[in-house]
Amino acid sequence: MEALDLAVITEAWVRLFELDSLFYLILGTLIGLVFGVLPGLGGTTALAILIPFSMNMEPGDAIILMAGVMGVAPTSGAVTAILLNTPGTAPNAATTLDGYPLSQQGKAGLAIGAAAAASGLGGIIGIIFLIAMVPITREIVLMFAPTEFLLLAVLGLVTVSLSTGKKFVKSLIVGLFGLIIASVGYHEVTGEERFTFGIDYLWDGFKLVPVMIGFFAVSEMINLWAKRGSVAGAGEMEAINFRQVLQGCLEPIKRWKVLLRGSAIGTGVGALPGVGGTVAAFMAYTIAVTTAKPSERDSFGKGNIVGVIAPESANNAKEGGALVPTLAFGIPGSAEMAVFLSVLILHGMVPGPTIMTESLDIIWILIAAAAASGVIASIITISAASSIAKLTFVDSRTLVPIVLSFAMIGSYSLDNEIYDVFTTLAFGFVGFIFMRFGFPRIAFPLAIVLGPLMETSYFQTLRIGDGTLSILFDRPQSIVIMLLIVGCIAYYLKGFFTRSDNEEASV
Amino acid sequence: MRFLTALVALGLIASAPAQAAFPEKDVTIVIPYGPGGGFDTLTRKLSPYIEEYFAQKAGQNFNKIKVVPKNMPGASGKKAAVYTSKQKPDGHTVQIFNIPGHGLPYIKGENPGYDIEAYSWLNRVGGDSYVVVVSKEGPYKKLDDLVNKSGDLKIPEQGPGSTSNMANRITWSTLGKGGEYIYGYKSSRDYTTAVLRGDGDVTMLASGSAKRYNKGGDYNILAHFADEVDPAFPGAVNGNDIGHPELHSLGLLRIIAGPAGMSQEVMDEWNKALSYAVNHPDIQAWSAKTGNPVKAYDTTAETKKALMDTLNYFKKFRDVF
Repeated sequence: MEALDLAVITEAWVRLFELDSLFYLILGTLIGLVFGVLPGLGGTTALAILIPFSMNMEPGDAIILMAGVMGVAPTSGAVTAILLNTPGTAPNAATTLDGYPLSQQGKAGLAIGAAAAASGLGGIIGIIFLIAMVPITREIVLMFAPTEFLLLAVLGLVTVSLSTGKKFVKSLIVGLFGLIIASVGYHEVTGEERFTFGIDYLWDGFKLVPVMIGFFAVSEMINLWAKRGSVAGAGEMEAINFRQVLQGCLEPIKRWKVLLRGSAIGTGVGALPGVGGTVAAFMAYTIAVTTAKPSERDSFGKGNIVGVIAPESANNAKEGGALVPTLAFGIPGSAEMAVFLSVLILHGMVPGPTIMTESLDIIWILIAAAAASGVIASIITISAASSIAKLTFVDSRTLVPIVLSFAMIGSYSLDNEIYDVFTTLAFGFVGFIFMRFGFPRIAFPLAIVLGPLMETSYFQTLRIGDGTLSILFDRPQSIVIMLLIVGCIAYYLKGFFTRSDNEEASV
Repeated sequence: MRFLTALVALGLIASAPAQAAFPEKDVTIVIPYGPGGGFDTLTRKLSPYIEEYFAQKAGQNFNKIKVVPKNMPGASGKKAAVYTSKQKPDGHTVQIFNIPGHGLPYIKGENPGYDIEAYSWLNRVGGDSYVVVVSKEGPYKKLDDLVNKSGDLKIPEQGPGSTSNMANRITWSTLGKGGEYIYGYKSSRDYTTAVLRGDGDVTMLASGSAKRYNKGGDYNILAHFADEVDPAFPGAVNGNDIGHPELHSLGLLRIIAGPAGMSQEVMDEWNKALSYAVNHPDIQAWSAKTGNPVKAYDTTAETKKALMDTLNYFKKFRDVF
């Protein structure tokens, strides 16, 4: 238990409250807030931009600055997701599903309050999980082989399809569309090009961020333009006040089970390299829907506050989880972590099994800074929420051009690539068509992220298992995930039949 | 005396344009991969020292030249290589290349949209040799144990066409052993962990990476294909020991090059700037600590020769890729 040395932990917190450390922490938090709010730009971009500045800094200060950014970007990304249906970062896409309908009802303050509190608390719970996992990080990483990744991808797709209830068939169609889009590009296992039509841009496949901005933000703006009026067409501006925001803050505490479950999912998924925050957020959302009372299930997608709390807690808790493989093996658990890893190496630290002994002080500074930045971010977001929530009352003729400009700039600035803008526009129209014909859009982002993971893990499992999938039944951890898949289906079907009975009784 | 002063002044003026010719403005080093990888880390680490060289050369009354690393990921590095080949050959845009990775189309006789031989090759900034890695807990204690295994070896890997995949294919075909490749791992760290987990039997790594990953002592390094086995790998054999010294040519290089047609003066200036950065005590200390081998050559001709030697060695094995 050398890793949990109390003296080192105390020293890290004392260090964090020194003047220069606080300066870097707040600076990092503010930079992360700005990058999180702008669609397309997330924590990864902010970290990449900060690398040159961090090189001349003392390692502890550099880590604090970076941790500030990482702790906050997912929180601020929720604000635009709720207000404008525009996820600031890809994982915030799950928050749009119920956050945006709340804004349409004039309850943006409530949703932002709940998101900020869930993010802050989720972040802290994630850090607590991380601390608990520090002594066993190695075992955790070694426990998950391609076999388990294959099953986890299946679990994700199964839960998301089930969560859409009566629209199950339409959801499957959207999911299949997502899988086709995900298969575009050079295939890393077979070495073949698929659906690239000789276009160089498609060689790497569609990029997640431009697709997400189009599918969620642009489609919504087209819809709003067609409808006219404002986002909160039916709501009253007077209703958005600090009291409503505070009421929102209390929601995650009232629904502590949802909060804890979301945070646990976030940390767990975050700890698995290559899966990432988008899956964590959507999985938390779909599990919240699946495990809700049958009578409540229909309210999801129409402004259920649980649909904000679950993904936001998972999204922030995943940062704690993602540090596990990053520190223990140098395998980044997320895109942000890949960049963060290079910062560690640039400062002469070598991630791996020995980092816990060689750079333990830095690790605890990192953990303390990440926890503190999440709290600072939540406080800033909560204080500003009632003012920024009034954006939802701006008329579409003003709002739509502004949001579209930000969406296009965000998409372009990702890689300075004009084709990314075309991708955003194209998926904007696709998303709009899905919306108009009542297709639930939730399966799409999950299929895009999980499709490649599922396919690669399937090929790997076959190779490891000498051409058969029988090893799925040889490993206890695989069997547990299979039971979870069966359990989710059974639990949902039970609720489905119960609900059918009730509905029949009430008719 | 006055004449002498005038002569010196004239000399200074005459030499001024040559000094001002390069660099005239900030220079960009294109990184063909995203932020966070080995190429990105190395380029960002070297950049301030390249700046330092340019600043020292220009003296204090000169605008400070910035060295700007620019990530351009896409199509396994092809996108950046095509971009760099189309830039003005004035020395203000150069790129860090992955050899043999960027040379794979040349090796296979394909046309990727750039001519690897045509670039202006400036200097090596990193170079490494390969090692054979197995899990310490596994059944393989010597290279022979792998060769004598019944059936093909299972080898976790990034994907077809990756540099380590080429190294694996050459090594195992030389040793007369079949390999079944498990593709799809995201990085060398990822597939090395896969060996530890038991997904496969063995894999190959650059020696610097092997030192980094083996800090906890999880792995056995069974072979190091270099003229001298690194003391960090006790018990490892080299190519001489197994009668295949030609495997020592299995190198990988990180070389900086610019577009075709750069003048020899500018190329020499870059060569010196890169040597200065690579040989800087700070960089050497960082290299030793983090296991990122950095090495430079003295001339651009040596750099080009090292490139072609490596590519032509790999070309001999084009049928096994």
